[in-house]
Amino acid sequence: MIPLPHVIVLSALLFMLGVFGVLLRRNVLVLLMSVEVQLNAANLALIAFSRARQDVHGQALAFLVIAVAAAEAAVGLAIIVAVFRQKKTTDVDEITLLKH
Amino acid sequence: LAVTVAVVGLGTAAITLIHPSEAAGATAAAAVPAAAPTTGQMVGSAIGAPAVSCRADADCASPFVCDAGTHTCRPSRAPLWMFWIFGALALAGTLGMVLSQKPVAGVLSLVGAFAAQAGIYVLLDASFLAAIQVLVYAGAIMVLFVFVIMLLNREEREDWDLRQVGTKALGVFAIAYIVAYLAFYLASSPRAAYTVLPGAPPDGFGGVESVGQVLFSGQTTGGGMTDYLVPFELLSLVLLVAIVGALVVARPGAARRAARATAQSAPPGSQATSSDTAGAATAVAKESHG
Repeated sequence: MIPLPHVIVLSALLFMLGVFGVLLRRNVLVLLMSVEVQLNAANLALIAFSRARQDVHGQALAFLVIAVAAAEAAVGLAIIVAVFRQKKTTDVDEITLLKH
Repeated sequence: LAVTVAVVGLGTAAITLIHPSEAAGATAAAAVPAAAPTTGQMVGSAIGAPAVSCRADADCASPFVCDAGTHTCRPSRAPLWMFWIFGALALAGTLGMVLSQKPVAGVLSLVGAFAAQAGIYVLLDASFLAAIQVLVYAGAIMVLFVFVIMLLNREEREDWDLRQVGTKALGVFAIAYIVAYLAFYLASSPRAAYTVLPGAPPDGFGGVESVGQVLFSGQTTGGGMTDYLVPFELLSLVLLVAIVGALVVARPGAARRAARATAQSAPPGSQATSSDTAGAATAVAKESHG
């Protein structure tokens, strides 16, 4: 009932906001959340195409993406906690352990 | 918080809106079988709506309503409005997260955005994924973020200065590029492309059963038992590795050992700066138990 281009436009806008967050913010938690937003935008496109083609495979793929996003969030947050213990900061500009 | 409340209210409104219309459509289709455009549902309004004359909405099948001017059945625009209301909420919540100065406020507005996306999934006939979206994304992952933010207990105000002009210019350029590309795409594609409506999906599309059948049995393609079986099992392995990896990385002992290593390599005067006493003490207690 919803034309496909509308959904794709919304998905692109959401992905764009995720890119905006990753490129412009310095708080590492906000960065990780922006990555989640990008994964979600991709899921939205997958589900829209799945609906338009009447093929459930797109939804199965979106399901796998959600599980991978959960694993990514768990590992990413663990790394953030470990880095915070060491450096006492969540600013990505200050986290330069691998640079030197 | 306001976004979340609005999403919940809209969700209930959507459910009450959708369910009576489905029931009414079913009775209408049963009462007027000749008028129900069963074969013409793939056809959008711009390409030529099914030429069914009608007087009231009850004369048309479920997703179609009676156009007051032309007295023909045309697709209902209510789902599209609903879609853009949810879409606006999702965009607003995401924008709130990206622009928020406090991480907790950002997490809460992102929960609202994810809940709004779950509403869009329902509108797109993906009810199982909508439930998963609320449970896993808005529930589990965002709660994990809240836990970590509370654990770090850090009010860090991030000033929007121009320290990294290059990166920010790149971000603005990327956004401008995508907006320009989208505008060009929308302006150049024919008008009919917006109004082509996908046909009604089969019963149970996007439910637990249909998604589960694709995931586990692969009946839809006749590919046997192996369509998503290996990816699914690999996914369980990924989750296991993520759990173990998160535990190993975030264990207090790891930071303590790293601090000891830096203290050994550094001159003895700088020893006290990197070791926090309480955390190290509990880590020692835990390790002696383990």
